[in-house]
Amino acid sequence: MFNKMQENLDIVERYLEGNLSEQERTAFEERLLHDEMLRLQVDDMKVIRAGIMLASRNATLQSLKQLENTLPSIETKVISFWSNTWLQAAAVLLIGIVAYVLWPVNSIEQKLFATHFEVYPNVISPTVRGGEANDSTLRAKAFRAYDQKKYEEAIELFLNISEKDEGILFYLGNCYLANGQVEKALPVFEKVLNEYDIFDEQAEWYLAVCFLKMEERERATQALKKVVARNSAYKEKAQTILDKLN
Amino acid sequence: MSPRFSDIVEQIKEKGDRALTDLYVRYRSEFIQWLCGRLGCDKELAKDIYQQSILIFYENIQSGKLTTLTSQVKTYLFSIGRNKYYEAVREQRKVDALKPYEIDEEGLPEELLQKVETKLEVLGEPCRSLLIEYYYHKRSMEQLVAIFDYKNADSAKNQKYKCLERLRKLMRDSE
Repeated sequence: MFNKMQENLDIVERYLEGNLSEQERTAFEERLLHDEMLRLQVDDMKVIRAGIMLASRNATLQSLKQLENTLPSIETKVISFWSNTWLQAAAVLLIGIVAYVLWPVNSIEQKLFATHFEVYPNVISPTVRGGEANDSTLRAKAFRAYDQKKYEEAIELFLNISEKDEGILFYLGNCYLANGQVEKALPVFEKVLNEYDIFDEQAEWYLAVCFLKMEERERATQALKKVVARNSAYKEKAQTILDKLN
Repeated sequence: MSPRFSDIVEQIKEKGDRALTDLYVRYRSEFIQWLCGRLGCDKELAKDIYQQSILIFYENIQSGKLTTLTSQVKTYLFSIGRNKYYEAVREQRKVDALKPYEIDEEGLPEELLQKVETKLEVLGEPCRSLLIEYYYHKRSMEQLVAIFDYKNADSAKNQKYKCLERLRKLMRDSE
């Protein structure tokens, strides 16, 4: 059933893109005459595709505007911008070295955590409007903080968003984890895994990472086995850790 | 020193809109100084025009409308900019005059498209970004797998399908 509907979508999209062969197109148009559901799908998809283009354009324009705001005003020489960046880079490096030296790496779980934990990349496109204006601003600020690795600030902002979808929760979990608040990260990832379905592969992996951080070897092992069983993108990492744990 | 068109196209195919940052920074001051100095454009308007020009350049590449370029990238951008500026002057310098150009030849009602935009927000993440990456930034299923850490192209395709169905439902629910 599911496959059938997906197949329909494929052909509808190819039809709208003008990518059907002459013969396919004739056959499809023939079907359209008799199949009301299919007609409906074509009409919906036309609107949705165009709407997504419009929304994306606005979002992209918005991100260019945000970029503009970070750049020095036109009269200023580009050099000041670079020196600034170098300074920032130096500071980050220094913090990194200090953290590395001071970091108490003890157990094998902690070592594995340090080696394998990376925050999930920000794949969220900037928002423009819609929903609650307040939420859009918060979102944009939260993801900017996330990009800049200011996790404490990002947590604050994510928490203030009133409509928390799985994407928000998932990134909130990442912030907690990056910020060393694993006890808070854990329930968030559990929620993403149990109550939604889009970020499951990822949430399962980060859940395992939480257990590692908590030095709960037994639960970490169980979770990692699930990751391996699901055959997700994290499978190899998970297997490597499992091998080292046991 | 200026990048070749083919290199820029390649960057865009690989990185989507993330390739725009470099491009934007590269011609920014020259473009804005030229528009303000030579054509007497107001600086804020010049910035808006520059952003639109970059966007048009990007969309023309993504849609396959622009596949080769006989002039330099800079010349091309400047010529879009000049047209946009004259358009703005004709419409009395209002920034609003920088209308979005045509998105669909079938003339779908503007409100309906805006509704999609609103519903996309309601749809939430990662669906929203997934659809945007796929349709607008023309990411392949393989690229989506890499961006979103999906298992494989099939699972990315599956997610895309689910997201679309949710969006369709949202569009319907509030009619």
